[in-house]
Amino acid sequence: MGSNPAIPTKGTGGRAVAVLGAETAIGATVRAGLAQSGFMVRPVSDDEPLPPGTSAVVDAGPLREPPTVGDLVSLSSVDWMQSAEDPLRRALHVLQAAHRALRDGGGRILVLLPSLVMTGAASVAAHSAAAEGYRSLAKAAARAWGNEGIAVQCVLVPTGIDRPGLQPPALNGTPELAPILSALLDERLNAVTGLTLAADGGVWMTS
Amino acid sequence: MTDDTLTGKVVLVTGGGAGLGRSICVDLAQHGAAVVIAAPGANGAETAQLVGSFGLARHVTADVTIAADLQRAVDTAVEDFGRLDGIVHNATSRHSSGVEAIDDITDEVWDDHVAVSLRGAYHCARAGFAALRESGGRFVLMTSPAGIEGSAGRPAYSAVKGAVRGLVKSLALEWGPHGVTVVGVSPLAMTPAMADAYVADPQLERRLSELVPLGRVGDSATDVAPVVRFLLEDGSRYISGQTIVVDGGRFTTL
Repeated sequence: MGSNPAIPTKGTGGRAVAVLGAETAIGATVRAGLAQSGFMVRPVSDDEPLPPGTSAVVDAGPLREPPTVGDLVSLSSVDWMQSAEDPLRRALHVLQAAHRALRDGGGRILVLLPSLVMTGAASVAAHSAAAEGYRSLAKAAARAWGNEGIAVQCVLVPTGIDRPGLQPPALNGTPELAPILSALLDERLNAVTGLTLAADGGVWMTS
Repeated sequence: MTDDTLTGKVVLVTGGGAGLGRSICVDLAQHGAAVVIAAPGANGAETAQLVGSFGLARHVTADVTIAADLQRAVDTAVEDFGRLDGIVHNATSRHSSGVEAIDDITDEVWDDHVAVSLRGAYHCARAGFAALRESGGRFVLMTSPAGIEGSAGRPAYSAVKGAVRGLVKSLALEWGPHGVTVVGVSPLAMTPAMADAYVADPQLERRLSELVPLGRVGDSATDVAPVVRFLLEDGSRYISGQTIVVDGGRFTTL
């Protein structure tokens, strides 16, 4: 990889997007929305190689399962592993696989994470740790792979597990995720990487 | 002893055998705290000897990746000094200063980062919560700029230090109703890891001196340890869930 390709300035049409965690409710929304925007959507399981020709990867896997809920002190070591360490290791493997698929031609990686990563939430500390660790690793990837034409962003999605007392969303209506992802996948958006974007309708405005 | 802001308080410090951890132990003891040093090697005993020359200290041979070791350290605090007011989780992987690409992270390196920084925090929390709840205590977790902005050369370190920040936020919410605060500290300080980073990147020192408004990398003993101490003092009782950035003004966001 001695080359230093600029991020391509193509638009959205016809590009192949691999979606991990596509079986989740949010993953299904992502699939439908991106297909409607003209992307070729390819659902991929975690243990499956990314298909040839992939130009972008969307990982909805962190939203796959409801986290184990309980006080950290009461969390068994097995539950800790499943809630914190295993998801963080999965994050590493997803990014490594995405890099293998994208490093020759550049592309986009979008990581969907629970919005509680910013706010914190009681009784899901292990889950929160894994999600914030993924966000930090994604920034490291954004720094490392920018000169290969790969941009990495995190999109935060409300999951219904929130801390009490938060302000209501500033925007009315149900937040639409697909238009945000389409915009971030548009390769004309070539000045943004390492971003965290909260798709929460305007709840947490501290960054 | 310079003053007594921590007199009567007992603090457990992981990774207290060297570097920043030793500086924290010395500073806490200089301000009256009894210090329990959890460290796996002989340097923990050396720190205890140093601190013991003017203050109260115990060394517990403890590996933070082993739950029983942390429980023993907490038990030592309670049995020898009667209480536990704070835990400082400072231990980091011996690979913390290593430079690697994301693609090249080995299982050994990843596992050690996770075991020491992240699982170690879990073990500290489980072992120490009951005693901290009783004292209305503090849990201080050392994180890093790499866990805030990401590091291309130290991605595993970035991941676990970011994870620690996530743990801080949620555990602060969980433990707040019990009167226990949870805070992260992100230092920019000259440590053995930073010295290694200078070797790996000869331009790093010049870049940092340009980037940091105060024009220098901090000193563990005089710039960072006093902030950790403050987070264990009564005056910081209303700080929780934050990552306190101690970096000479390098980060100016938030």
